Amino acid sequence: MSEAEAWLLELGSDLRAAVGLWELIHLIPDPPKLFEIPRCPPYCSRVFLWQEEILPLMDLQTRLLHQPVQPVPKLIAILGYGEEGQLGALTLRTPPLRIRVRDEQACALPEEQVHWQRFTLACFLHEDYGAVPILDLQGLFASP
Amino acid sequence: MSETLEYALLSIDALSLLLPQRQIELLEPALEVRYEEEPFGWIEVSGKEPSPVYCFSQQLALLHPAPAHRRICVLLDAPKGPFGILCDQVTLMGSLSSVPLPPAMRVPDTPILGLAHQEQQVFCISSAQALWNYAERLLLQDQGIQATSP
Repeated sequence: MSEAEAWLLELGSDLRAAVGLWELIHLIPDPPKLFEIPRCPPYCSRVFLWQEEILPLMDLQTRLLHQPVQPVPKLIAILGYGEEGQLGALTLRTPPLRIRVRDEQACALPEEQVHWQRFTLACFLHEDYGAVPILDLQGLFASP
Repeated sequence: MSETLEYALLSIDALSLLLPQRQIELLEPALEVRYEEEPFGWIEVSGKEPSPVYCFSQQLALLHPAPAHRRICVLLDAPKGPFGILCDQVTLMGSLSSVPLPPAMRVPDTPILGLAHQEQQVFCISSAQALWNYAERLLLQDQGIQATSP
């Protein structure tokens, strides 16, 4: 039986997902200056500066459920992915929760969460929240 | 991977658009642009064939008529011939390091090719060719014609 640590992310509208412990790089509680880039998808049309890098800010509630974008995000999570250490950011509603996930919690992605399919590596059953997808950050940030 | 080029900054309301300086042929007052029935204008420079002039909003939609504060016409050198873009202000920026537009932000018809920053400001980068293709697609869409990829 193996166990791994992860972060549970609250993305709004009852959307939750997990990322690996080392994939969450930094949390920004005070919204930075956001720059609107024209002709981009509505869920990822803003960027901000962090440590001399320009990072895209994605709203998964907008991407998956077509909800309006939060004009001023409450919290931003900077995530790292890929072999070259690329960075991307997601808007969160609450601070992430550190959790442990065991092999036997693995489950199939429920049919009602089919919108996650493109962006999910696996799924597990959380005792409070039910099926929680594990994000494929490369898939999420590598294409519109 | 980043690239370093000398840019000119075109201010279009809140949009800060960078274009490589070498793609700019000349700057003319927007008063020189004449309008007929098309959703764009024309400018004639030194007795040459008139060149089309486009006015964009900060969301890069075609604007017609052009607002009065678009005071400058930037004439760009594109393979299909020169064309103009109206803007509020032009600033020479010198060398800036740029990065490509993040993949999650790329849609097929975007004229935004990359981003750059300086002193806590972020700028969009385009090119004469990308803006020409983009304006052409918008005009075709306006006429209800499906544009083909360049």
